[in-house]
Amino acid sequence: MKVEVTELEGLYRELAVEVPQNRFQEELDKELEQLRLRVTLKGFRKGKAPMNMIKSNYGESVKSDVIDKLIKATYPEAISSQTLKVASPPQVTDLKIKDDGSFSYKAKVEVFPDIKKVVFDGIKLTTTDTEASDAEVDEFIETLRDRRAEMREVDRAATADDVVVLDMTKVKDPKLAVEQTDFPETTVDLSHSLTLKEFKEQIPGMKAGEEKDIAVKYADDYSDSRLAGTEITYKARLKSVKEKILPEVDDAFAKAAAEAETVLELRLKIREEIKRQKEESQNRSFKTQIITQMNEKNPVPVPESMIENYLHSVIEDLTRQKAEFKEDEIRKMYRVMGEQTIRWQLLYHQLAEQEKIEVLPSDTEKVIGRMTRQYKITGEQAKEAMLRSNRADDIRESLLEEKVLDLISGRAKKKPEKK
Amino acid sequence: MSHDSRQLIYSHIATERTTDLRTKNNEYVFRVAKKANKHVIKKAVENAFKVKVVNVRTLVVPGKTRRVGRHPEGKTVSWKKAFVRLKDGEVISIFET
Repeated sequence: MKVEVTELEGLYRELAVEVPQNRFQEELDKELEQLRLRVTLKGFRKGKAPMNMIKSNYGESVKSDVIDKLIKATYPEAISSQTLKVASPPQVTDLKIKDDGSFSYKAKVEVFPDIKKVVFDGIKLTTTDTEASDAEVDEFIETLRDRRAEMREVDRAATADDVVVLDMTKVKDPKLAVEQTDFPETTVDLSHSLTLKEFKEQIPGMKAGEEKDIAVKYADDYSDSRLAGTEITYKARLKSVKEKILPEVDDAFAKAAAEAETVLELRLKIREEIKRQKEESQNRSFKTQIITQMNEKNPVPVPESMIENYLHSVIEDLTRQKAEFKEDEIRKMYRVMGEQTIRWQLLYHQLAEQEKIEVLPSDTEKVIGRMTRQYKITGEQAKEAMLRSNRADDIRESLLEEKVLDLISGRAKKKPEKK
Repeated sequence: MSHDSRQLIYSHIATERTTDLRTKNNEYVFRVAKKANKHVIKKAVENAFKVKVVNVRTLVVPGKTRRVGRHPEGKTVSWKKAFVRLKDGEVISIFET
């Protein structure tokens, strides 16, 4: 078998493969003999038909089958004989069959880029302060208090700190944004930060039983896209006013809210939690910073077919979610991202090899440990769950990525964020 | 009677038995016109395939009764089969397997 490789544009390579006659003949004879034993021709019992009749009846189709088979068989041989790292399925063209049975074909494939050395010095990371301030702890406690507040119905005009129950009817909706017209028994917390400002401004002062038309103008970037930019007028009848009674911050509160013995312990717990969240978000931001900078420092080419695969899976996801989209736009939008993601994958694998980073059993143990704490299961169960979900490879991958990220961020220059 | 082989010899019969006869006795089996006799068959085969025939045996395969559902019985056509033995060493290559 003769194989010749031509480098084409980018990462494309063309393999010209020649398969010799004897190989073809061997395969053809084998195939015909098998067929002979299988088929029933008229006048002959199964497997008793003479070879010539088999040949004249099935010869051509067997021939093309054999060629198909040989292409499939010789292609991997060709690849391994040339030590190519192939990133895409081959496109076979130029199939030429000579009279003596030898044939040649060309296969166009894409290879992984040959990354000589991954550069990762001089990465600059912007750090943020991960310590929790007293103000943040206070704020957290306030939300806890708010969540555990008791409601008590009162007979007075509503104030900005109250919770009100409204019977609402839609009276004007020029764009017909909502189908529903009646909203009975709607509870509105006037002190909540997400409550619409029209309610916050107009309801205080009303008493139970009173009615008012409230025109609400939804912002153009309102989270519910059906409502964004519309103006709807509601007739609101105040049913009841409820006073929010916030619990005192004492040890009992600490125990109920966070299973802490004392208020001090509660504050400590909250501080830890906030810190953990901040660190997590910092790690995430490190990761994006590293990926962007590594992409800039190592502009290796990315196989087109891998980007294509990426875009394909994005589009498939969107289709599954039944989202409306234009394929061209999505392709354009996600192209850069896909290229970066794939380049990063290539880079961190190469870097792991370069720096001899491997996922060790102890790393896997760590993940299992994390799982046992998070889901409150035993190590055995965690292992089993991992095997069952077929995600062991994924986990290994992400561990490797994590280790590479650790290495890079360990050697990066860190600078606090400018405020 | 015409000796045109295309009108007399209809087809070669390829079955396990005829394959055997050919390899053992150098006999080829044909479906032939019913009106053809041994003499004309011999001449027709010699003309058509350029071989030397030493013996011809013939027989008429009787038609078989066939019924379709409740319709009255009919018959399939009867036809003549000819065993043509060639001189040793002669072959008709297109039927060779």
